[in-house]
Amino acid sequence: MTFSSEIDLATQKYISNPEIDITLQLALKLNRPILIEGPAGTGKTSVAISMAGALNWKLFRIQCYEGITFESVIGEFDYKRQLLHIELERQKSTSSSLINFEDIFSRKFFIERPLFHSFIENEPNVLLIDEIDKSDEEFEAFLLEALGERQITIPELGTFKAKNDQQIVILTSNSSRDLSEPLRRRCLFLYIDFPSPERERKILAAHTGRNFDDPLIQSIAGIIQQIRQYDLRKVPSIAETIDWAKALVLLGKEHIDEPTLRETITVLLKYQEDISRLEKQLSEIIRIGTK
Amino acid sequence: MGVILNFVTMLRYFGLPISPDETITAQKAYQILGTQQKEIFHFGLRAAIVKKKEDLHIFDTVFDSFFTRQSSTNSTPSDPESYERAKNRFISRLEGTPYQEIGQEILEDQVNHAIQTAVEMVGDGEGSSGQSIGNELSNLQRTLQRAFNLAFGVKVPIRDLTPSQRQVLPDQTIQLAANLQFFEQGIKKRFQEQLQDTSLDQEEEPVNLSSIDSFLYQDLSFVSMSVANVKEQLIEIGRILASREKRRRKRAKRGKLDFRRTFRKNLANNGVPLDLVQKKKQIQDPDIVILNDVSGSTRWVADWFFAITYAAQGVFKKIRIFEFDNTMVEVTAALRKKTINRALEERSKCWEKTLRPRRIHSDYQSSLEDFFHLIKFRPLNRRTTVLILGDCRDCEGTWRTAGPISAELLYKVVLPTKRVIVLNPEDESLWNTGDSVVQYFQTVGAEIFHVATLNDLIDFVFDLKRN
Repeated sequence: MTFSSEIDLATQKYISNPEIDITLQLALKLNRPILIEGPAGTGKTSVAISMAGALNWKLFRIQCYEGITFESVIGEFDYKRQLLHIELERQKSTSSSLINFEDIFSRKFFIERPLFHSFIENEPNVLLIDEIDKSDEEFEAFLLEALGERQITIPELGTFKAKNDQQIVILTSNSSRDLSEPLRRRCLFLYIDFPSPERERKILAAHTGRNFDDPLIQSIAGIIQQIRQYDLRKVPSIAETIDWAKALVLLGKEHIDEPTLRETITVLLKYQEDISRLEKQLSEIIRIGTK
Repeated sequence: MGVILNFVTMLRYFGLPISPDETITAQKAYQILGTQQKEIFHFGLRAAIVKKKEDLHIFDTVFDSFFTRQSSTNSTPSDPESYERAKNRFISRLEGTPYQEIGQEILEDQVNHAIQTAVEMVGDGEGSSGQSIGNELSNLQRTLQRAFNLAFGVKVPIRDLTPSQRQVLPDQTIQLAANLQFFEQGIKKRFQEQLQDTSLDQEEEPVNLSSIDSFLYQDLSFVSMSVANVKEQLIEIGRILASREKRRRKRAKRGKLDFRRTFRKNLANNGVPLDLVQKKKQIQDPDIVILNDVSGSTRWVADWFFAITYAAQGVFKKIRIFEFDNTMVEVTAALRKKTINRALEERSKCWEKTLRPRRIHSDYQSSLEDFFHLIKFRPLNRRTTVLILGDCRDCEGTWRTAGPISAELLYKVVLPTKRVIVLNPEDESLWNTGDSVVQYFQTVGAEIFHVATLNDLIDFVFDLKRN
């Protein structure tokens, strides 16, 4: 049996690698969530956005943070509307016993949030749960039902099964805390590291409109690879490399020399300590990086 | 299903906790992807089975052995006929045979022969096929388990039998179990050589609480043990500390009652405050700079402390570690390595690039001079707490009339920082004797504390987050 990928991320300017392609394809076929880990700025969130774009599917995004709750992602009852409804019913009727209290706990009074939307959506969709490691353990535990059984339970409304099989859940994590085993077990795993020089050149070419073998693109990729070798507080990510490449193109640079790197290094490095550390190494970095 | 089952069996031997559900997912992936395109098969199976970055390396190595060598070895095994003969004899005679009818001959000769052949194949490496070894291993396990079940009417995995249960088993069965263990160890040994990573070392005794306690409460003045011998225990201590700290931190973040939010949240309860909402406190991570004395007398304490810090590093986001004897190096980069072994290797590498030639004896003066050079890009500030782990014995430092120059240098560390704390494992009765400079360090504003046990040391460092 041979295998071919149906997802062409390149249409979304996302330059993937075989591992990313295969994992996405497998998630699609097996209908399993994917947990993507890796350093910040290596394109984890972009995978989900690009996948939705490439498949022309809807994207629902949940940005996790410390203290995120069930109500923030599924929804909650609109208390003010419920009160108004009760008052209205009271005015209509002389006896409060005629008010149907079951009504006020119906979908009509429920403010739906992204996770709920994603599950009741008829169209195929990608659900991105971004930076799951920032959320609390309670929230992670709550997600188990949604990821494993593909259903969510709201006590007042009942259980909602995902309406269509074409729903991909992508979770991303920067590993700021260790995720639980049950969550990991329910997902396919993908680790996205900093790109190889070749892939980085392709990424830069796609985002700057230059050729893959353009000398400037080759130099940028080579220099970045060199900078990442140093022990820095914040290693430049792909996003920063793209910004730097765009800045150099805008400045009309065709090659990188020491003054150019010195002038633009703040695009790459975000700590003065890191800049100071590399200050005396710039010529060496350029020499090896552009070899 | 057989191939994937055998592969999963192999991975489990190397510590990957693969659940039955993951095995089913792997099997489905296998059916979807096929094996013709190796790269696709590899990445697909990896996505289905591996769940942690740390396990990627183990998976890749076992995958390579299991599947890559299969094609080359199946055609030219070292002694295919004898191996196949032994295996077939072994399987055909044991398959479906009640335990009581298994004769001594089979148990001692055929089984041992089959195991030995497989172990030899494991040993010579070149002529082995991961898949055939995995098959053999599964066959042996199944047969043994069946024999146990038939004989005793119980379905307890062999590994889980208690010593008293083992005592009532016939000698042959015990021998079989021992052989199986030998077989497994052979495979493990080969893979360990390939992986060169002791984190896979399954033969080590698991750490129990009493052994951890014994480490924590031993008097530091009387213990001297290499970090290599107690690595696993130290890592375990680090992990326990990290999780304890995480829970404590979560509690500490809860602030005063947030009336506005509590009121809003409880509108649904008709204003009755059933759910309380508390304000969140912002906890500032302290800048901690640790200077570890690695000269003779305190070296092993520094080693232990490094291993614990490695395991608990998630707790300290802004930590820098330096080590010194007569010169100083920064070893913070070593903490970022994936395994403790690599961290220790990196730590040794840091010592290859010293600012001055290294001698064994401690020299606080030259070390502190090096320290100022090393921190020039990220100077100390009012949020920094400097923690020196050492015995304050300035063997080779020079002196003025008023005291050692190292004390003057330490004063330069005290001035810009929040606190300078010296944790001294040496008995207090020995302070200020011989080359000990404790009193001079105290004079310039350093706080000196005696740490009698590893537990004292850990408590002190972890309490820094609270002070």
